Order: sequence, then structure tokens, then C-alpha cells
Amino acid sequence: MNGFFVKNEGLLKFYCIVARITGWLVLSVGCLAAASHSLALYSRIGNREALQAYLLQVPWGMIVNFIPAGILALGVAQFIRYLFDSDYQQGWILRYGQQILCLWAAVYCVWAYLVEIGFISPATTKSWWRLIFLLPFLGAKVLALVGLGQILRRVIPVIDESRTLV
Amino acid sequence: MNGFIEKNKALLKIYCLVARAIGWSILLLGGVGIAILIVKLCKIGIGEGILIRGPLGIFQRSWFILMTTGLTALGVAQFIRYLFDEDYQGGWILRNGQKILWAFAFLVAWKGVSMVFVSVSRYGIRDSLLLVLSIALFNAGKLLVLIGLAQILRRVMLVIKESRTLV
Repeated sequence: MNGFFVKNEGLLKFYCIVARITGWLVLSVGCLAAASHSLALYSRIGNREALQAYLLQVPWGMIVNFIPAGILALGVAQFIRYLFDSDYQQGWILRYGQQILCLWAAVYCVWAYLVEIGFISPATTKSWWRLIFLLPFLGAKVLALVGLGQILRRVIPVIDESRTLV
Repeated sequence: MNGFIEKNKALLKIYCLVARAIGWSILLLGGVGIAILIVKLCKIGIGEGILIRGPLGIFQRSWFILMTTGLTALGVAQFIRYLFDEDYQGGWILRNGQKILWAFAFLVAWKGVSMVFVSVSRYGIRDSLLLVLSIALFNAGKLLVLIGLAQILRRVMLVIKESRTLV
């Protein structure tokens, strides 16, 4: 395995830099969108109708997808660096990876309830077909995130062991 | 690590069973979506009416996301089983995980390029610049994550195999 790292060190370093830049950009766009829509929602708190109308227009997908995607890109870059650079100590995303993934699963559940099942969507868009589609999809996503958290928690000590052995 | 696995083996087994059941059901729903798409293609060919508007349309429009989520759930379940069951050699998804992730990366790139192309042709470069930039950025992030995960999977499987032989 070390042979591969030595051979491709330049490429892996380049990958990490690009992933970090892209990750920060995606995260920033997501945070910016979240902040601006929060401000807009806050300004409509007194007016229930305007708030309801605005909630339907908010691009939830951009907020819910961009922030986790940015963190994921940064986490993958940290993991790859952790694999090939034996002096590198885990970054904060890797150290708190399990908690971040569990938080992501929880946020996703709340978002799915609010936007897809709950009060934001108009009643006309809800149907049994939509629920049949959504429930297993939600279950799979939450299970995958929790499972990835468990994998991360187990795999890091194994890598640590293999580092000390080499 | 072994202590934790011994303690929580029953829980991990239940997790794997549930993840497999849900993963397969999602793949099935994705398969329904693809079947509807193929039937439509055979009937009317590529055109405006290819996407159906009825309740089943949600499966047809979301087949890609259904397939990727189903495969991810199954892959994670296989990986967890690979961690706690020493006799388990890894299922098909885990053995071909790198190729599957590369295939996903290719599809994400293709989807990103086609979305950019559609946006530019519909609204023009000036009007769709922000949209195009956000699509490109998001898909670049996704692409990098998938390529990185493919590399991580390849290395981590080897490390786990080594640690198994040491114990």
C-alpha cells in the first residue's frame, strides 16, 4: 500500500488541495444561502401568509445539499491525507465525523418532515405514492449516514494501528 | 475495537438486516422507475412527453437517486458486516465498490454537463451564469467526493485485511 502512496503522492496532494478548495466553496455557498433565507424568513415572522408563501419558495435543496456536500468533500480530503501522510493528525471533521454524520441524519429527518411530509408542502402535492417513495428513501439515507459514522469510528483505530506497525 | 464489536454484535446484525431490506426495496423502486422510462421510450421515443405526470412519475424522475441511495445502503451494510464478521469476504458491491463509485462519478459529471448545457441553451450564458456556476460547483464537489471515496475504499479494505491477519 505504501508503494502506491509514494508513487502517487503528487496526485494525492493535488487531489486534497482541489477537494479542500471545492469543499470550502460549496460550504460557503450553502451557508450564504442559509443565512440569507433565514434573514428573509425572520423579516416575515409577523405575517403568517407571507411566511407560508416564502417557505414554499425557499430552495431547500440548495441549503440541505450544499452544506453537507461541502463538509463531506473536506472530510474526504482529510481522510485521504490521513491515509498517505503519516505525520498528519486528524482534522476536526475526521475527529468529529461520527457526530457530524449523526447530526446530518437528524437534520435530514427534520427537513424531510417539514418539507415533504409536514406543513410546508401544499396538501395537493402529498399522496400515498409520494410517501411510498419517501419513507424507504429517508430510511436508507439515515441508515447509510449512521452506518458511515460507525464505520469511521471503527476504521480510524485500525488505520492508527497499521501506522504504528509500519 | 473487537470488544465493541463483541458487545454490539446483535445490534450490528440487526442494522445490517434492516439496511439490506431497505436498500433492496429502494433498488426495486428505482427498477420500477427505469422500467417505466424504458416502456415510455419504446412507445413514444425521446421527446417532451417522455416524463409522466401521474403519481408514478416520481419513481421515473428519481430512478438515479433511488439507485444510488439503495446501492449506498447495501454497500454500507456489507462494509459493517465485513468489519464484524471475520469469515465474511465482502459482497459484490464491496468487491466492486471502486468501479461502482467511478461509474457514479462519471454519471454525476455527465448529469452536471447536461444540466449546464440545458440551462445555457434555455436562458443564455448571461442570465444563467449564477445557476451554471452553482451547478458546476456542486457537481464538482460531488465528483471529488466520489473519486476520493473510491480511493479510500481501496486502501481501507487492504488495511482491514492486514489487521484481520494480525489478530
